[in-house]
Amino acid sequence: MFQNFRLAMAWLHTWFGLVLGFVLMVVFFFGALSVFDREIDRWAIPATRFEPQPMPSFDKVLRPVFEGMQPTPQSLKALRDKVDGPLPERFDTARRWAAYTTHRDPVLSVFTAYEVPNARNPDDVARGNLTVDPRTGESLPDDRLKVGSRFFYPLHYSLHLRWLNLGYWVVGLAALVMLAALVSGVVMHRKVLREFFTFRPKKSTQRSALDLHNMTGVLALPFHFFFALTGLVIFAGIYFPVAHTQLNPLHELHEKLEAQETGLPHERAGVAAPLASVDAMMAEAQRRWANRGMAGEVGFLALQHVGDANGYVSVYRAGTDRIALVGEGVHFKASTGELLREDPPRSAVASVNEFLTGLHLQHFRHWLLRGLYLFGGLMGCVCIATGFVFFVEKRKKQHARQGSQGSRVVDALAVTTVTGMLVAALGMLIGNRLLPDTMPAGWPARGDMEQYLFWGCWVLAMAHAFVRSAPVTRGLINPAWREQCWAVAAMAVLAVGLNWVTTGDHLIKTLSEGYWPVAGVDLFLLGSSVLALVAARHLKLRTETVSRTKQVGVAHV
Amino acid sequence: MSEASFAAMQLSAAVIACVVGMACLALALEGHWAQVRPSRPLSKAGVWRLRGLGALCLAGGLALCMAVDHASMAALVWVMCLAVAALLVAFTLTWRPRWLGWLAPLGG
Amino acid sequence: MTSDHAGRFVALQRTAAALLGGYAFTWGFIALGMVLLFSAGMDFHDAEHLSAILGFLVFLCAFLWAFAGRSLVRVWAVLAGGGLLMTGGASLVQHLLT
Repeated sequence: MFQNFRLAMAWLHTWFGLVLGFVLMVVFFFGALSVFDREIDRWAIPATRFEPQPMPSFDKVLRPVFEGMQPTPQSLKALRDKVDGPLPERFDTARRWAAYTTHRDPVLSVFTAYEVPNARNPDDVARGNLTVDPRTGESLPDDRLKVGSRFFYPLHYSLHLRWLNLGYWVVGLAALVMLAALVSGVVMHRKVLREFFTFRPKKSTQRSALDLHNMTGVLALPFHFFFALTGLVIFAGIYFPVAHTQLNPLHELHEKLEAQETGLPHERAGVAAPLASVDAMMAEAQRRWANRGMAGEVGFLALQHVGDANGYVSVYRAGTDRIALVGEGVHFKASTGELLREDPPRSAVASVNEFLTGLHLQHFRHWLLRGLYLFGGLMGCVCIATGFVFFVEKRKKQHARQGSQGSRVVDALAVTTVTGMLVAALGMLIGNRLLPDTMPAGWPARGDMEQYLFWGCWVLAMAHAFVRSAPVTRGLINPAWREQCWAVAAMAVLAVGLNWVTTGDHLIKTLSEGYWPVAGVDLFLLGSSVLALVAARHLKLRTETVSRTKQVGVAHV
Repeated sequence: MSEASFAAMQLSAAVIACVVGMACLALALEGHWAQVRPSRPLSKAGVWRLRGLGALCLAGGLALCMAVDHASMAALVWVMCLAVAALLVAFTLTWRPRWLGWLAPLGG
Repeated sequence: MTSDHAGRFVALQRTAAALLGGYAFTWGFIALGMVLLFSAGMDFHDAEHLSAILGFLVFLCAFLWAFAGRSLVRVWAVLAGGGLLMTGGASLVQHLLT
């Protein structure tokens, strides 16, 4: 197909980079925001703007919460096709109760999984989840959308396309193409070391865009490569479900052996049993960790086979000071509190796997590293955006001569994906502040409205990008770029202003109190506004230069 | 001084070390040397002096990171610091190349 | 490259080889890796994770080679054929173990 390796890699980089670049832009941007997903949640749900809390007492606070929980309507809806017969009114047999918290969580997420009596597949469960205030045990209203951790973050890894896991597959393909684009990018970049620090903004758009594209790609190459690779590793079970399909017999064999080895029962006994003090179990686990020289907080608590004689309680240490998310599990017999097992130190392979997944999911406490992650993610966004700009600039004039619409379409899609995406996110935040606390009857829930606003704004931005794109067919800049930059600048400031007006937590207040989650989001919004204004001005100057050149060209003819 | 603020100081020092290291490595390249010292040529010995100091500063940055966190976390912090430092140096060379002039004596 | 249509067709073929052939080859690699490591005494989940981590790197190489390789026939033979062989081998070893 190609004369040599370099040409093959250049073709691959250009075309796969272009097509999957639209997906990667979304993945990188919302991935970068997800570093501070819980902080965005605080901004979006003012009722949760208090200090992070440790795991509360189970016996006094969590047990009543768990006992009162039932599956969510969404979970029941998903189960209707998977049962022979009717779904029960109440789900009382809980396979699992779990609670997870990190050093950044003021509110606690609790999860439940219930046995489904008529399920065709015995592994299917009905799921419940709730967000509680650990200080009181009160739960948050169901329709408060955690804009950061339950919208931006899942958007980043699944595009919210849950049908047949399609979104996961698209993101997975994008990640693989990202790896290929990084390798092919280095292969085709002949002066990788000589141009390591080169950025020439005063040259043509094509040259300066390429300089910036190369720089943001090469300087953060280890970051981009590792995040794409570790993202794939995290969802390896979805992409290559070997253990649950071809090698399922081997997997089952292993499960039986493991259950015998660990003493943690795989199945229920069918005999009811009481629940001993889980607080005592948590205290014992913490004592054991301290004895091993790694004193720590409880990060993850899980009760398996709830209410059964085979039930056991697992207490995991929060990985606040390490890369792994949680670890050092200690397991107790649920009915008596007797110690069943202390997890042995991880094997070499398990440590490597924990390191790779942990470095991507980053629940550790290290504010500099998190800040650098955000920066790296934004560098990736600039890399992709400048890739689009370079692609269009390189072909615009030729397409203008040929009367082709190619550059116009790609350019409009680029506007949609770069500035349009920002407009969508800001529209959602503005809606978050403007929507009433409870929607009037007949309207969708508040959280759903916010999501409709996100997608709606994005569609509007796309329409605007296409409608304004005619100049590209004449080799000029699409005015939509500048217009959307103005929109972003205005909307970002509006969002900060609305936060002030609707919650009273203006920047001076949050900065003086040191409440960084909200101050940080407000500062990031204001910073974005400044950048958007600088970009708009730069675009204005470029547009004027280009039109002056065109006029000169015409005069010469 | 509290442990947290000492750690913050060490990490700041690590970032600075990485920036200086990257600046040295940048100046060892002909094109960027000419931006900072257009009049004087870059000698071969100068190139090695700059590269040597650059590598030393980057290694120093890694050592500082390791003093704050355990190895696996420190390695991540350092790699990210390198990226940011390189970007800072690149932008400085683009808009204010003379700010790196103080490193020039090493190359002359 | 040849005319526009022929060029696009070849591009499609190479893409198919990269994605489908690459996926088949990687599946085979992961499956065979898992059974061989497990039978050598590694913990099942460790074998699963190690094979997956290496597998994605293998997929990357297969993907790039599908475009860089000179002969498309050879690419298909190695990727699809190799994938089939490794997958078959994995099932064989599993049969011996269970």
